[in-house]
Amino acid sequence: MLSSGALGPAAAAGAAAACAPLPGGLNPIWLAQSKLRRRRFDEAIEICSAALAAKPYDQAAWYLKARALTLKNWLDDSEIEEEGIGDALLEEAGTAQVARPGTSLARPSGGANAPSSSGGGSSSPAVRPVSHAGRPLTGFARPGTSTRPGTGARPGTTGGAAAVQAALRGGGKPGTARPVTSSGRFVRLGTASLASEPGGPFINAGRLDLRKYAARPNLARVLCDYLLHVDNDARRALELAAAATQAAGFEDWWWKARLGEAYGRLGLLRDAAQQLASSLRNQDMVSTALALGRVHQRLDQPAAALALYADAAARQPWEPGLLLAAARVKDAMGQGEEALGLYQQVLAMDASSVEAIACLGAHHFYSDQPELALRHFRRLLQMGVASAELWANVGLACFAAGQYDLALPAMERALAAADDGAAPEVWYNVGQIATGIGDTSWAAQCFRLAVSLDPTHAEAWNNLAVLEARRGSEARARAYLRTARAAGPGAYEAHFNAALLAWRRGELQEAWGAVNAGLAAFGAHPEGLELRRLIRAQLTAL
Amino acid sequence: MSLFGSREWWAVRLGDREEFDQRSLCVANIDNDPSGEAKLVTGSLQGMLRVHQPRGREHKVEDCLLEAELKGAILQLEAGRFAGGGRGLCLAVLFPRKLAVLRFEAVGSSYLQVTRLYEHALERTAANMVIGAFGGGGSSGLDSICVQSYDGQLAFFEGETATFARFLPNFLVPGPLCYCPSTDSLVTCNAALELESYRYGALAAAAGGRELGDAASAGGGVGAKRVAPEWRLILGEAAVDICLLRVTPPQLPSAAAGGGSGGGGSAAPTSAGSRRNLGTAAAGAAAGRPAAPRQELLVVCEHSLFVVAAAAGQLLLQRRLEYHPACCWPYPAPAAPPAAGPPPGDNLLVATHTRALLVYQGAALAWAARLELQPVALRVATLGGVEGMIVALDDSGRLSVFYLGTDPPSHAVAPACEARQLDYGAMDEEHRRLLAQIEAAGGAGAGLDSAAAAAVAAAAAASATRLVLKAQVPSRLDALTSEGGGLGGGGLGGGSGGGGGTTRQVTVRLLLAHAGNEPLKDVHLGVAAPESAAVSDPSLALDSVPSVDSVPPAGGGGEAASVRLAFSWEPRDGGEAVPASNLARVVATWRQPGSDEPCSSSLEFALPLALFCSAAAPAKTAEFKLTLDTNREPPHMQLLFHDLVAQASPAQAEALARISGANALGLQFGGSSGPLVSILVSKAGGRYRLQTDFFPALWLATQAGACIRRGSCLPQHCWELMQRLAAHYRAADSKPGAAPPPAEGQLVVSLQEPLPLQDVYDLIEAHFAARAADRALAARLEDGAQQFRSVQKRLLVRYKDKTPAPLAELDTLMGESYDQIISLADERESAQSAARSAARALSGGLRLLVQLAAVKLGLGKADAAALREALHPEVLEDAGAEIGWEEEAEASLTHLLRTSLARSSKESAVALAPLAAAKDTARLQKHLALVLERLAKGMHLAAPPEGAGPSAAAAAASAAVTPEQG
Repeated sequence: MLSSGALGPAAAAGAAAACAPLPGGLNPIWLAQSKLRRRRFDEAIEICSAALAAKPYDQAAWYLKARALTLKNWLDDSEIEEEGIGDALLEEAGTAQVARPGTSLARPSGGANAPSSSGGGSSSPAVRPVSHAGRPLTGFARPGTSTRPGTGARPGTTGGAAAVQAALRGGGKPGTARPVTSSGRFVRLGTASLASEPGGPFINAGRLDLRKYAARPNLARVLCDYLLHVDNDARRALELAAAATQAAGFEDWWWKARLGEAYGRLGLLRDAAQQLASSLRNQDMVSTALALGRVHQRLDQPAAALALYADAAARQPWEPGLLLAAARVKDAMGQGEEALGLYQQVLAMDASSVEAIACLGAHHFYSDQPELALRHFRRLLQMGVASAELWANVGLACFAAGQYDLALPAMERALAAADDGAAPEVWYNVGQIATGIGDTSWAAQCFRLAVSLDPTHAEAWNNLAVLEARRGSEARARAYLRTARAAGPGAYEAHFNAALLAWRRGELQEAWGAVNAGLAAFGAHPEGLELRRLIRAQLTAL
Repeated sequence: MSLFGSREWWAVRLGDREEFDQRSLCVANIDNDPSGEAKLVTGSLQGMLRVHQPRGREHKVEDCLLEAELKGAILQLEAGRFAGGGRGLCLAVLFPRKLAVLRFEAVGSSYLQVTRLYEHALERTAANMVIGAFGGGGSSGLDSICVQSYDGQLAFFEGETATFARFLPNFLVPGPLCYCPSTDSLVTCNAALELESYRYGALAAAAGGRELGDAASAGGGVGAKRVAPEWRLILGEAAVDICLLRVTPPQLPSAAAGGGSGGGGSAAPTSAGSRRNLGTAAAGAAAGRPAAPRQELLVVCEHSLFVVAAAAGQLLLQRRLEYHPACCWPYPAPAAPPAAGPPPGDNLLVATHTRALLVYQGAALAWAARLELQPVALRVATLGGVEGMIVALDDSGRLSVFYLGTDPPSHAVAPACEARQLDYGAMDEEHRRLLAQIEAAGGAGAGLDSAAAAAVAAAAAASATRLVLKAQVPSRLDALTSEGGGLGGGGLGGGSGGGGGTTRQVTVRLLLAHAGNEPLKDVHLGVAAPESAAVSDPSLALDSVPSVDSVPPAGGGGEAASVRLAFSWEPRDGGEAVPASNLARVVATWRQPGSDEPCSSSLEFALPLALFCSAAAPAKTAEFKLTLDTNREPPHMQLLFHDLVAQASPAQAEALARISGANALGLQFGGSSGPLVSILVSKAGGRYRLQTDFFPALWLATQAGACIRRGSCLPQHCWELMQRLAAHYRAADSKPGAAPPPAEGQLVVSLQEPLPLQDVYDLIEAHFAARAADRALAARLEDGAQQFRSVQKRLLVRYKDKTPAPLAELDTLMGESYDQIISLADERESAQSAARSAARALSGGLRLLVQLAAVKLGLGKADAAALREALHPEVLEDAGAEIGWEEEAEASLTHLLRTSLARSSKESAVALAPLAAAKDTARLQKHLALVLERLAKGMHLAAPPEGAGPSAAAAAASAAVTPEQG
């Protein structure tokens, strides 16, 4: 391995000549650029390091090496919406403490939460299950979708406490931890990318005169990307971008977009939104629009994000990403029908969009069209997606479509493909199938396996409790329900079941608390409302 | 992620360890063959130039038309009309320092001959080149060449002449270069990630037509005109490639998708494989095309696709890519019929670094296919008479021609597990076994019914190991060396010395054995000594108890674990000299080795008589007398109690020896002044008289209970005397040569005189009085304490008062009250101890009464046990409590009279009064007499006569394993 700092120039040049004999008078810089184009980053970096060792002020080699390192550590963060605990706790960007229904991601299902709504449609939790945080399940798991954004709900309010708990629980998969803040994640990424680089950091950003670089546009952009993606030093990148945008006369959309990105990483969302909007006015770019939409979502302004996406999509007929982003927001808001149309538009443009196919499949599954869902899932299988989740979905769709002989082999494959993160869900689904065919002891074993793999699997605890209650051991059922309610505050079934058991025992106070917790998770639950009415009548009679 | 794979049609591996790049492939009819067949020209960085012509499926040796080694690395190949004179297409080859134009001529049909038309030596290291009819191409219709160097110089060559060279401003690293004929401009992407367009005319005019050698100064900007871009567009990403593309107007994005849905498949007919900037000069490339097609620039960047208007540099369309593009190639869509509206735009082929080939038709992705190789260059050509073949080259030199098939890619769906023969019987068996295990573990296997579950539990219990406890109780006391007396008389050293100061001790050996497979770990023993006796270790822990396959018979147990327990008793005087009980109890607890469930086992055994009393000379007269009759010849008492006699103190032994003629013995409880029980035997018909001054002391001499489990021939009510008699007769009977058992048979004990009820009544009265006295004292103590407190309070108020008043002798009153409380407390202490001894005496009396009643009335075992339960001889020291023994006993006797002893239904209907403190004991005495009377009349306490034998033995088993359910 070459180390530009340690070896003398002559030695390094000799080593480079030995390891890569250049054919026919080939320019090493040309070769490095060619390798870079072919994404052979390590070879390109090696050649550039050798060139830099020979001529430390070779700008072309420096430029190519910085680009190679940037591309090597590139992380497309346009779809990451994960929030750290610290972000959730110290969130100050929210506009309203209690948002009106339908305008906030923190109260996603405006229709389902209002007790007077019809409760029908795909957004009802009775029809479509919700994730840990109370968002409707989609067919596609992205980082951050399992957590509810904490904006607008401070700690102390119940929503804030739930957000912090969700943040502490991690991304929904057992065994994964979550950084305390999302900027902490970038710091970790930065140290990781530097550690993988032999000979210490390539560019010592702290010692650069950024104003000097800002005046040299050839180097400045590459340096800025390097700072953002390799060093993950948003503060220095911000400094550089501010100087450069000034040097460019505040007309350069790219620098404004980078300013917005750096502000976003530093958590200054308002500034980020301002810069990105200004950048969009300079030049209508898809990437900027996506970034601005993301900032809007982090500010808990889904309506603004949706308007932005719709506006940009009208001007960008080639870009399915905007539609997809809009569909995700609609999904998160519980407007499944509208998301459906967007997914179909995405598919018309990009027939191999895994996310769109998966979400359509999930939608058909939850709207009682398992055959259609099965076709979507089969298509995914044919496209080469072979994950445990997909096999489990195929198994469930087969079961729901009456193809019992295919359901169990699909589940077997899902189990074979499942890792620790997916296995509890797969076992839970096998348990559902077992419940469906009436084998309660098998179902109980499946649920038991699910909770042994993921002790916070609220639905499995709830189902175990129901099975135990059917078998007559009510004390055990109560204990399981307690666990379920603690593990998943968003699962209204556990609250309702606990309330029902307590009510049958005559413990009205406990039943009252549980039924209200359930109705907080799903306001239009008819049985819950009925039970609450009964309890209220008994309490007033007392 | 693609639904289909690509179908390979022709492939060859070029050289060994050669390297290729984006521009190393050129597809053209390079030898100007009249048939117009396209040839594949490749040049490697190692300098190998090859020409292939695929003629059919599978690569054949004759497909290779040329393989030549050129000096220097080949950076780029371009085909074009670089020489006039009807020489057709030539090949321009770019080396780092040289530009060569080659011409190919077919020799026969099997190979080509190369001639080098001309060469240009380059002053600066070349990066890439672009060809085109710059400036309208002049009149010749020939193509010019523009070479970009590494320091930003654009050198133009027209035929064999080098026209001029210009430096680009602000240059750092060369980017891809493209010539746009419609605007006659060169487009490149600079290091600042911006797209720049330079008009050819402006470039040519910038330096005022200066020659090549002076161009260096032009780069410094000192010339008349600086080289400046026509327009500039910030892309923000490095461009991978720039090429020309004809797109449908953006307002009709769906027209292309509708028109070309079939064309995205295997047959995307395209007419030629030459580059688009050959323009109309390319062989038939744009024959059917409108004259001035609208053309845009397609810029493929690292993360996006951009379509830019060539004229003004506006960004028209963009698309973010979810993958990393490797290379791209636009090709014209099949010509639609004229009636279908405007002609569709070009299709675009993009190869990604995830080995996928994507076909875009306008905004829509028309096709996606998986590739076998990672291409660096893509072309579309007509090969072997098939239109629309895709040519791909990867950087290690694999040249492949393929088409888009509808086969799914291999490994898209993982193959199913191989169908193996399933052994359903074994699976079923395993399932059952697992279910049973789950059930046994308390799981949710509801498949088995409760009966089966109970059977499983019983089996588990049976397999559980048992711990058997056995006690070896010696009849002799320990020799206590600390006593300083003689060895033989160890414990009784002070027997004649008066006072009850010496401690007697006996060491019991406790044997533990269990029948399990593995030794038990961590067994804990708890030992409870009878009241007023003490044990050396009240609780002790054993590390392990070894396993014995079969429990050895009593007295064996060589390998069984054994523990020594020393019980000691301090002889006392007076009423306390008679112990309330002589039973010690041992409880062992442990955890079952496999299941870890806690188990226990217990043993009760009697301590030897020698611990509590010693042999003495009998007294002639006593207050209480009791006579028992037997049907056998009596043995000599000193022989019968030989163990006591042997341990007697010398003085007592002497006294005993003196009266050895008379068959009599005294049992001295406690110290020398303790109660004495004398046993006198009449010579005549086996009559024994027990007499004492202290009635309760009789009980131990006639003690019951301990010998039940000895398997004695006597009924269960047997006492120390009876027990010893029975043992004696048994030994005599089994002696060989002895006289046969007399006709009377078994030993029968009977009591002629009436039951000593009056004595028991006296005890009850005494106990009741003691309790009453204690209660009265308690009430007085409470009054005194209250008085003390109120005096205290008043005194405190006086002291804290601002205007002090005289104490009025309150201080004296307080002192008096205090003294009174103290004396009352002392009194109460003595009263409590009196009540305790009264309780002890009552307990002994009751035991005796029960035993005698059993003998006298001939009660069965169950009846005697019920009577004992009702009378409840273990009188608790409940001094001071409202409800004492009297109340409880009366309640239970009333219950007996109401139920099993009821003579009529009227009696059974008597309402029970709630338990309250009794005023006197008259009712109790009456009821006790009534119960005994009815028992004497043959009524039974226990409803069904109990069968003797195994079940009784089992019930009395000394150590029953009781798994404690959590």
